[in-house]
Order: sequence, then structure tokens, then C-alpha cells
Amino acid sequence: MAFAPSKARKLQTRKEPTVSLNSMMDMMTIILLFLLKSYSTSGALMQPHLDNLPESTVQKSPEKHLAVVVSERGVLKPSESATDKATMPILVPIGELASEEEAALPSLEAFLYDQRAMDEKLGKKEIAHVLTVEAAENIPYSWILKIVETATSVGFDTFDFVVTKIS
Amino acid sequence: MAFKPSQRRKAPDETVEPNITPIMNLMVVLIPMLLSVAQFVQLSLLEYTPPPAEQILDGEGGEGEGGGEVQNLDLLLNIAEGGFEVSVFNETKGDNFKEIPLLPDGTYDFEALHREMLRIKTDIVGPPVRVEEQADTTSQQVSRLEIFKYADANRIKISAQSQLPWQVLVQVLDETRNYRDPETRMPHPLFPLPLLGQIQ
Repeated sequence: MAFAPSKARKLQTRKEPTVSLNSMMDMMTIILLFLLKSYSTSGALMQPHLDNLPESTVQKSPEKHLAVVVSERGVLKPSESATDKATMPILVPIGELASEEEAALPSLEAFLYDQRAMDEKLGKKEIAHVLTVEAAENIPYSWILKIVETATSVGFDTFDFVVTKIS
Repeated sequence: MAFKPSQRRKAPDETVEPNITPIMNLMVVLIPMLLSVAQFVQLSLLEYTPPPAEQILDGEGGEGEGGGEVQNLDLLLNIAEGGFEVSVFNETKGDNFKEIPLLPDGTYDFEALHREMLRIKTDIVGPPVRVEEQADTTSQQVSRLEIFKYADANRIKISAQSQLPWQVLVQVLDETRNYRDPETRMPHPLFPLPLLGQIQ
């Protein structure tokens, strides 16, 4: 014959097992404070695509304009989907960029013409005339000059070079 | 006679934990959002506006107040393999031409370049002849335009070799753009309008 169930056990209320979130809360609070400290409105406008940008004391805040990235792979087109320089589409291949015979870059010229034509088609009041150039610190100076000359011939008159700010 | 202490009071107090799940939910949303806009590297923009082609071809000389021709400064900086070469009035020797050799470690002497730029600005260009106020029709902002005795007093032509690393040129632009007043620590323009060229 089975024993009668214990009365004490019957009266005992079973506690729901819970996970202690306190330590995770502490961690989250620290991360949140750190991120709030490094929060920047310009961070939403521009994120660096290269980790070896030149350093400068210039203080001009980032602005959103048509941008190109210059790296050892050539002139690249930054996009929302491709943030890494290894996956960014190539606008100007390195052979064309490094060539000493060509002073201009026909591939870049075609791209810039297309961008301006698109602005006109969309009925934008102001057609793009500012080009943001993000170039690595070790890029030869002649590559920058080629980009400037090509863009100037298309109608761009201001160039914003992305640099890392130092005090 | 004192009463016997109550048996109930001896029961341990249960600790009540607040429900932090909603706060956790908020954190989980906030952290990715802040991560996407956080800026771990401080970026800024170095603006370069090349002058129109006709201005380069014609030079910047204009007419002075009395109708006379205004002289040009023609400040030129060559970044050569052996160091900087600074020339004014298109001279290649004498007091208006200075060579700044490389430092013993083989790097460019940016401090000496900055000193030379400051000397040219103070000793050769001098203070502005007059200040004009210009109103921008679109932004309605009024800007002060300083007129110097040389028409191209704000401009510097920079020539460098094709293989010069971009970082060196950025540093040169920093040193030639402005200077800080040693007393007020306020920045003042030196030669803020560069014209980039290449040594052939």
C-alpha cells in the first residue's frame, strides 16, 4: 500500500525558476553609457570605409555628398550594402588610376556624368558640385590630382577630403 | 509576564525583485541604434576649391584702388625629394627663395615650413589694406573679406612629385592654411587657398 502524500509537500507553493538579469543589466548600462558618450550626429552622416585615413587638424564637420573611396584597389563606390573596401564596386580599376600616360579617368568621368544627369532627371534644385574623396594616407599624390582634374572637367568645383581629426 | 514572541514574525522576509524585462527590451533596441551612429574615429573634411581655369591662366593681378596694377605674390611651394622649396615673386634665388632640407631622420621639416609661411605672411604680405563686408544672398550671412596689397595674398601654389604619399600633402596643407595666435590661441588664416600641381 502506498503511503499517503505528505501534507507539507501539498501546501508548499512551487516557485517559478527565474534567470537573474542583474548582471546583464549592469553590462547593458555600461555599454549604453559608452555609446551615448561616443554618439555623434555626424556619425549617421559619414562612416569611414578605410582604417588608414590621413591625419589633419582641420575642423570641418562631415557633410553628406557624392563620395568616392580611393584605395589600392582603385577608385571605389561606397554604398549602404558594401561598407568594406574589399566588397565595394570598382569605379576606376587600378591600372587606369596608376597609368602615367592618362591624365584623366574616363571611367570616373562617365560615373560623375551619370550622377549629375540623375540629379537633373530627379529635378533636384542643386546639381551635385561637391565630391567627397576618402583616400588612404599612403595613396600617391598623382592619383588624387587625376580625380580632381577629372571631376573638375565634369563640373565639380569643391572637393572634401576625408581625414582623421587630431587636436 | 511578557507574551511569547510570535512565531510568524520569525518567518524570513522574501526579497522582491523588480521586473527588469521591459528595461532590458529597451536596452536591446537602444544599443544597436547607438552603435550604428556612434563615431569611434573623429572624422573631418579638408576642403579644396581649385580656382577657375581662366583665373589660373590670367593670373590674379587686378587693378588697385588708384587704378594701378596690383602686384602678385606668386607664392610657390615645391615638395621635392630633398625637402621644401619656398619661393615668392617667382624668384629662384636670393631672399625670396628658401630651401628647407629634410630632418636628419629623413622626414620633412613641417615646423620650419610653418615658420617660413608665417614670416612671409607677416613680413612680405603684411596686414590687410582694407576689410570689405560681403553679404551672401542665399544664406543672408555677412562675411568679412580682407584685401591685401597683393591680389593673390591668400593663395599658395603647391607642387609635388607624383609618388608623394597623400599624408605628407595633407600635413603641408595644415601647416600653410592657418596659424594660432600665441596669446589668444585663436586661428588666423595664412594661405587658405591652395592650388595643387605636380612636378613634371
